[in-house]
Amino acid sequence: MALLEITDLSVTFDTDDGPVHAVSNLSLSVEKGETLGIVGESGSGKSQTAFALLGLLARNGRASGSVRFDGQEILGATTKEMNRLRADRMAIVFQDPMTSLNPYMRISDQMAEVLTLHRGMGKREAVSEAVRMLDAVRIPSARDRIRLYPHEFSGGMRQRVMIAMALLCQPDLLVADEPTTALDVTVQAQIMDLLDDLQKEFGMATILITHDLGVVAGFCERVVVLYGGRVMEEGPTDPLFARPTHPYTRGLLAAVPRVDDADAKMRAIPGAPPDMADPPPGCPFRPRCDFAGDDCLRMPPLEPFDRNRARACRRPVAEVAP
Amino acid sequence: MSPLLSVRDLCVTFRITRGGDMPWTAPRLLRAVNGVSFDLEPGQTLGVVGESGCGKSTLARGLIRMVPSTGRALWQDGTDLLALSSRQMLRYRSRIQMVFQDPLASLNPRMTLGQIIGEPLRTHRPDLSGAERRTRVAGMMERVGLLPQMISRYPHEFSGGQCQRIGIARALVMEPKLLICDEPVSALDVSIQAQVVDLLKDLQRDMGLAMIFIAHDLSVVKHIADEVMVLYLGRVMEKAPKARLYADPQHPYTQALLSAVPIPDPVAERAKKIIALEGDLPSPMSPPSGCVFRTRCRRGKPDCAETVPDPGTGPHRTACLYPGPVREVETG
Repeated sequence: MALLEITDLSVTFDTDDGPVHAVSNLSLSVEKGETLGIVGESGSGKSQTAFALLGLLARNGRASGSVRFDGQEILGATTKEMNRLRADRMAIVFQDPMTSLNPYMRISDQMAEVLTLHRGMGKREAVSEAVRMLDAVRIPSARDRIRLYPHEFSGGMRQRVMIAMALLCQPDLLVADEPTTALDVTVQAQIMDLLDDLQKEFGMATILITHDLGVVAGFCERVVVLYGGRVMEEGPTDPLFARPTHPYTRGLLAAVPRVDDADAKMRAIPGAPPDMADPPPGCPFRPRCDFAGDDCLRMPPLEPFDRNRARACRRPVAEVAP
Repeated sequence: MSPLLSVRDLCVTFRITRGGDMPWTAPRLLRAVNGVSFDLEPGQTLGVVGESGCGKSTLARGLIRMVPSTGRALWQDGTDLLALSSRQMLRYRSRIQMVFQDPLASLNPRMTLGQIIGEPLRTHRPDLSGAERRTRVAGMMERVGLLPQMISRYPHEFSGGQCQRIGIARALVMEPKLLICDEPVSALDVSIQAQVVDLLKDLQRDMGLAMIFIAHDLSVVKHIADEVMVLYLGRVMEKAPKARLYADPQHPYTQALLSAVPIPDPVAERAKKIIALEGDLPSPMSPPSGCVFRTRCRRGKPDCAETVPDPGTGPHRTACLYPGPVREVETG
């Protein structure tokens, strides 16, 4: 049984301009200990998928469908039930570590709180456990620095604190929502290296949400590509990058500049992403797709092909390297 | 050909005062840009890369005197831009224009697209009639891929990519000789980044523009620059023609920076050796003595603390006492 099984998830926001469908009929699953990348551009619905499964949607958001965590339906669970699951069995690391830490609390208090609340530990025991976790995320002289406030850390160190905090209860599932986007590239390399080591050490399943295909390539075993709130293509990382078949996946990979290739070009995808308040009918990528036809006016189903791969496209590109 | 802009020893220094300082307390100095020199030929692009706090944006602001700076910046006609009075500088501002990172924040929300793009003309070319101005604005809009019927719309009605096109149109309507782009695509989605980079390249070719392209993303810079300059803590670490810098970097910082860039190819990314940088960026208030990079450098020797390395002259300059290709012991 998969650790996380999302079936037909839709997320809708009620706004003054009418309903906005951020995520439509999304299905995916994560096995125990697996690393899954969810890739997409702004407005693709990647973050809202994570918020929906953690029960963190904004007040005007509604989720429908099914999210089963370890066999148990958690969509529509009460805040009390979700609070028991969150931090204990599933945890999240956000993009901006400064706004997700409490600026008025010492790191020691913020971290110990998690353990006293979820594990019923005493303060002293909780703090020493927190120090152990700060050591694990390679914060030098953790025993002294745990007494500091968040603003006394650099951006990279703050993100390490966030990761340490997320791992305190040794969750089965870690969701990392753009964990390195706000960081410099050398710091990003350190943090991704750390996440990789911790994932192997603790064996938790990890969902990495990012717009950066390079980060996904290095970290994830499997990738889901989202566009306009829908799954375009998914599959194991290596064949998906080597032989993308959905025109959007192909376009995205061709648009990314590469630092290692002497004469690689950035090939633009014409047009702009869909306005989610007024999405085009059928496949959301249709208006920008070179291969689109009239049959694309109906949304194609996500169909399996090859080994463990799937795509939602009526006009898939021949499986050749881009 | 004589360079369009010749910059020598550019420094930008901020005076930092803190709460509790007495009137007689000596202000502390933060040298955000320290001794930067380069030549920019007409029609060429200089890429400026570095991490946050390295001084790349301040360098641009110092050049166009949005912040006070010292040193020399000789324009093609021999004028030192840094020695001009602000009234004299006004004449040169129309020849140097800038595109900013946040496309929406850099556009006045209460002005229509036509007013935004026409404003530089109103400032610098008061002799033009309203009709002439509108013709130029419409021509520029078409050139950057904006439809004529958009002229009376407001910035919030546009996407990030379109706002950046508006920013580019505003910068180019004066037909400048030099365009300074400060992180022009970093706020945009990947599929839109390539559109804007393509547009900038086309415009550069058609208008013979020289560009200073500032970015933290080394892979984007690789697609647009002719020459690349790497900054760290306000100093130039390495400067070289693009092909040389990416294929054969000599400075340990450039090497570390390049090795950290993720590659969108699982096989190449897993095989890649990362040169990890130890510790955090030192405070720019009290930079290390000698080579500013030495505290995080695996190659550093005791004499690095004493001498500020001289980048030398020639096309490939490396400010390092021990330059050279990556060594086996430095990776992993």
